[in-house]
Amino acid sequence: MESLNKKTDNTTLTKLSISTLIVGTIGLQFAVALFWLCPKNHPAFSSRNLCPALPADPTFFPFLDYPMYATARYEGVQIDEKFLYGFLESGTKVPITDEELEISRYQFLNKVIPRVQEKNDKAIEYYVGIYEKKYHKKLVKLQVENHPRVITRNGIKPGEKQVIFELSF
Amino acid sequence: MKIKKIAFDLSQRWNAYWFQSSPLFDLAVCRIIIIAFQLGNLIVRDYYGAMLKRGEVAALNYNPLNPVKWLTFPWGWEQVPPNWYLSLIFALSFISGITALIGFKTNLSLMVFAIGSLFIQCYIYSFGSHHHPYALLLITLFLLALSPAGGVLSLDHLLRKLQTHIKKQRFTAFNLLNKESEFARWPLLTVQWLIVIIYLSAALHKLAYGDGFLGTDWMNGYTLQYYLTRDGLRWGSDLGVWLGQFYIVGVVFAWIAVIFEGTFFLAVIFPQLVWVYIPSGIAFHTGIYLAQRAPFFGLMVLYCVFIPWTKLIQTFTRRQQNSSQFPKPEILYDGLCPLCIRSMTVLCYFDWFQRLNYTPVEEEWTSIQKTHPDLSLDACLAEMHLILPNGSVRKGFFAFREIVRYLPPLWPLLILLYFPGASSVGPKIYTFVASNRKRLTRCSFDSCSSK
Repeated sequence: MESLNKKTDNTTLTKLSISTLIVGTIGLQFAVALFWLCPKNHPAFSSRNLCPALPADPTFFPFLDYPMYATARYEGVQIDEKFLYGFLESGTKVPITDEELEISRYQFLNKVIPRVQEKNDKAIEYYVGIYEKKYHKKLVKLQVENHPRVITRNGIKPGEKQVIFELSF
Repeated sequence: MKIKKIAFDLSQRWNAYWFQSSPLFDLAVCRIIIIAFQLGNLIVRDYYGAMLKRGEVAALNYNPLNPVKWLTFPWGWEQVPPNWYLSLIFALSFISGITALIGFKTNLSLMVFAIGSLFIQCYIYSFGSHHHPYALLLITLFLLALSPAGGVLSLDHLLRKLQTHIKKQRFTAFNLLNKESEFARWPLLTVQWLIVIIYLSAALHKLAYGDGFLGTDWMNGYTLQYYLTRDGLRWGSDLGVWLGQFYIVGVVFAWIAVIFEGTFFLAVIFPQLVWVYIPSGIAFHTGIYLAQRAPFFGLMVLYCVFIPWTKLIQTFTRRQQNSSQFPKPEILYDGLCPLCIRSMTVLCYFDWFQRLNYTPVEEEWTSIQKTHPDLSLDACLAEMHLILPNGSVRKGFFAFREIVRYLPPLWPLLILLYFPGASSVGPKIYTFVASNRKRLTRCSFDSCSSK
C-alpha cells in the first residue's frame, strides 16, 4: 500500500513537472511568434503589461518568430539581377558567370558580385585569376550591370539596363 | 468549494488530454524518423566542415548565439572555440545520435544529441544570419529526450525483454504495439501545437501587411510573383522564374498558402483532418522547395508526429488477417534453450504485423505430431523449423531466411541472406551455433523431456 502511494506521488510529481514544461515550451513559442500582435501602442488598449517587449530573434533560438516572405509587393516592383562582365586587352566585353568561376549561382550573386562592388582586392585578384587561367586571356576591366525585371499583371517585363560599377586594373 | 471543483475538473481535463495512455510505438517511430533525419542532415550538409571553415574564414564576424556562449564560456564569449573542441562536440553529437537512434541509453543519448545539434546549428548561425528550417526540429529533440521515447523500438527495451524471458526461462509472444504509457502522448501533442503556432505566426504576418489588421495585400498576386522570380533567379530555379510570370498563379498560390497556414490548427483539433493537411503540407513545402529552394524538410519530417502509426499498423494487420484464408506460418523452437528463447524474443520484437506463430516444441509436441506426423522431436530440437501456410517445412538457416521475409523491419538482412554463397555458408554457421548452444537443465514445463 505504501509503495503504491509512493508510486502515485511520483506519477503526480512527474505530471506536474511535464505540465510545467509543456506550458513553458508552448508559452515561449507563442510569445516569440505571436506577441507582436499585441496592440502595445494603441491608445484604446491598456494591455501593455500583458505584452512585454521581447528581445529580437534569435535571442531565444530555437524559439523564433516566422515572418518570412511576409512583406507584400505591388505592381511595378523591380527585381535586380546583376551580371559581371570583363573586358579583354582588345576591348572585347566577355561575360563572367558562376559556371566560368566554377562556383554556385548563390555564391556568385551573394559573394562574388558584392565583393567586386566593394573593391575587395584579394577577392577580385582571386576570381580574375581563375578566369584568366581558364581562358588564357588577360582582363583589364570589370563591369557590373543590373538588368532589372519589373513585375506586372501581364508578366515579368525587362527594366532598363544600367552599369552600376566599373573597375579598371 | 466551487473554485476547488473547477480546479479539479480542469486538472482532470488537462490530464485526459496530455496524459491519456497512448502507444509508446508512435513516440518511438517518431524518435527514429527524427533522429535519422538529423543524423543524415549533419552528414549530407557537411556541418562538420562548415563549422571548421567558418572559424577560419570569418572570425571577425563572430557573434555567438546564446547556446554557443553557454557552451564555450571557458574561452570567453567573444572568442571562437578551438577546432579540437568543435571536433569533440561534433563527434559526441554524432555518436550520441547513433546510440539514440538504436535506443541505447536512449534518454541520455538523446539529451547529448539535442545539446550537440543545438550547439552545431547555433555555432554556424553565429557567423551570419539565422534561419528557420531546423529550429523546431531542435526543440523536438529536447522534448523527445525528456520523454519515454525509448520505451519500445530500442536496444534498452529489447535487452530488458531478453533479460525477463531468460530469467523466466520461457519465451512468451508479445506485441510491441500494445505497450502504452500515459507519458507517450504529450511530446507529440506539444510538437503538434508548436507547428500550429509557427504556421499561425507565418499566416498572421502575411495578413498583417497592408490596410487594417487583416489585410489582403499579400494575396495581390504581385507579391508571390516577386518572391518566385527573385528566389528563382537567386537560387537557379527555372520553375520559380517560369511560375513568376503568371499573375493568376501568384494570386491562387498566395491564397492557398495563407489558408493552409492559418487553418492548420484544425488538424490538431480534428485528427481526421490530418489526412488532408499532411499531404497538403508535403505538397506545399515540396512546391516551395522546387520553386524557391527554401528547404523546409525539417518541418516535413516533423509531420510524423501527426501520424497514428500504431493504428495504421493494427488496421493493416487486421485487414491482412481477415483477408487471408491460410493459417500464419508457425515457428517450432526449442523452448528449453536460452539461445532459442533469445532468438524468438528478437524475432517477435520485429513482428509488428503479427505474421508469425511461435510454438515451443516440447510443450506442444502432442498437437504438432497430430498435424505433422512426418516431423520428429529430435529434429525439431536440433534446429528451428518453420511450417509454412501451405504445409511445407523449412529447417535451420532456410527457416530463418524465410522468417525474415515475413518481418518487414528485418528486410535489409535479406541482402546478406540471399547473397551468392549464403545458401552453402549459412547452414554451416547455423549448425555450428545450434550444436554449441546450451540447454536449460531445469524443466519449466510439465511435459518437458529429460534432454
